[in-house]
Amino acid sequence: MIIVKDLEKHFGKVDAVKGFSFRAEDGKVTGIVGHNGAGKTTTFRCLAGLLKPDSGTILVDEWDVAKARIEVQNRIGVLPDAKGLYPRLTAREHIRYFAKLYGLDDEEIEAREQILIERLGMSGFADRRTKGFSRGQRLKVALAQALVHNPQNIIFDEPTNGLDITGVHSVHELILELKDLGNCILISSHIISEISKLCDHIVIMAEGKDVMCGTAEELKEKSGHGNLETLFLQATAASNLKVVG
Amino acid sequence: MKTFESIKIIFWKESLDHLRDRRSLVLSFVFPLLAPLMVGLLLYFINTNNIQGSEDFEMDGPVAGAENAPALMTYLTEHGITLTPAPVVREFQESAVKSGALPFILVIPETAVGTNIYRLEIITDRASPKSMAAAATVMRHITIYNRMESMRMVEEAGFDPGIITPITVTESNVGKTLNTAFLFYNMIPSLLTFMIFMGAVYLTIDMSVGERERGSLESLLATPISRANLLLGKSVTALFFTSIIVFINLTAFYIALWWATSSVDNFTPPPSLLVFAQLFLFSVPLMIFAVALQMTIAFMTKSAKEAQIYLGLLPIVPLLPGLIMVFNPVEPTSAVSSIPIYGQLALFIDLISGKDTNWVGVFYSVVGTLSAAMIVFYLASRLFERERTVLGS
Repeated sequence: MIIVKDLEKHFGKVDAVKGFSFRAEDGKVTGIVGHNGAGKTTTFRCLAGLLKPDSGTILVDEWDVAKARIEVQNRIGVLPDAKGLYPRLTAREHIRYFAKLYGLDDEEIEAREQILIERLGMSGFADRRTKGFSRGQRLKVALAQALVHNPQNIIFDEPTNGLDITGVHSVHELILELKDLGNCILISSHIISEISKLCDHIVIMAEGKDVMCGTAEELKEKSGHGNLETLFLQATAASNLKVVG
Repeated sequence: MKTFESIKIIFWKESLDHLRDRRSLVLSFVFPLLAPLMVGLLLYFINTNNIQGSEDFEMDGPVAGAENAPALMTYLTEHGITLTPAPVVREFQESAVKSGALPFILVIPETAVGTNIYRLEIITDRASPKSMAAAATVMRHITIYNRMESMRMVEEAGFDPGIITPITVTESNVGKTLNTAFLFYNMIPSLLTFMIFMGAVYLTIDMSVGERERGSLESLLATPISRANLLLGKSVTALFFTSIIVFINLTAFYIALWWATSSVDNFTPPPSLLVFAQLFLFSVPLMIFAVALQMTIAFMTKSAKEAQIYLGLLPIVPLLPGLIMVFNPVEPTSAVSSIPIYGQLALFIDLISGKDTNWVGVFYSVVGTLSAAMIVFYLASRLFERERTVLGS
């Protein structure tokens, strides 16, 4: 479970995140939707222990990321926005490298490697160097890295960005499968249809803060006309007006 | 995770990655051969072309009209010049020297027959170092012969030979006999220091800013490994490859110098294998300092391109004092010895010169350089903790 409370993060004079709060439950998919620059990636970076929040609290399975970064990092798997790989290592070597960094022993590595290669359909290219991989293949390797230690909480930052229809479908299937296994899934996206399809709980983020939240149905009800996209545009526009005002 | 375990994991990955990078490998393993090859070939060139010159040097002396000055010919033969016949026709003489078939030709005219006072000619090619070096040697012998003859003639005429040479100088050398070869040996400390700072530059860039540029840094930093351990693992890899590069460099120097000087007696012999082993050992603290400095600079830069510019300039900094010290050696006092680069250069120069190892200097240089390396490494770890390192701007 992930609990974020009054998170604030500034870069010089820029307020990237200002008072953002949400809760992501186990066995549910929580989606954060927002414009580019709304603060989604900064929030995820704070969650992953890459950036230090200026104020606020982030709890992952009751561990405070500010006080127990290593404990938190052991409990989360992160698929960052930048899904860079090492071009001279094979897909299998990527999995093994991250498995070792997460402290898995040889037996566990063997088992997880087998499961992930099979589940993500990587058998055909597992022993090929990643240089020249397609976007879909790269994503699979990055996913395997993020899931290698079987984390309870999984963070996906723009997971389907740039993928073709088959790739998007595979990622959606995987997310729903992980949800069924009881994992806490947190995804960010600016694609409303994706969020609407996958998420049990949606948080609309604008200008670094949460402007609205609820299930897809609740949000549709709030909009009054059953269209999430319109609601999103209204919510973010209202926030913009408040900021300008 | 324990520090040693973390270092092992990162070292394994980075080494594998580096060993598969052909461009980086060429730079790592061919680059250290270049300076030894260059120095070796220069020495060999000096050797084979007799540029070195010496009174005891044995060489061929092509002479036309040798029978016209038998006394001079006897003197030259006694001083290592093997007289060989040369063309007598002017046109052939010039073409033989011009083509390089003969380094020079000594032409003794018939007017020299039966007299001590005559004019001879030496045909040379000033565009050829080989020709000029050989001609200079034979001219030196003729000048000495000339002085001896004039003194003999003055004495025969009943005068004091001191009229001709009022002052006679005798040199008593108490040091080693130095020559051109030694000048080349003295270049080793500077070139070695350059290699220490240049060796793993591209690897360091790839492991630091390169990691951010290819987008793999965020995934790496999201793992439960402390940044200090991550930095340590990367630094150990850089140190490992630097030490291999330095080892190759020194081995190549040893082989190249022995090869270039093995067939010549008048060259000062190159430093022994033991000296090269000591050079390697004494350079280890400097390698640690260099890696820490490279990491610090790499993490201060915004891009791999910027890192390449700054780290490319880094080896020039230690090269400058090194070059100055070739011509103006600094006495290795404890204060100088404890300064990184300077301390090692002073020790390296002592070793190359064949002096006894200054163990007090070694102690100060190790302590001074390792202390500086620790401070710089701490700075690198602080820079690695910065958010700018993750974000890149």
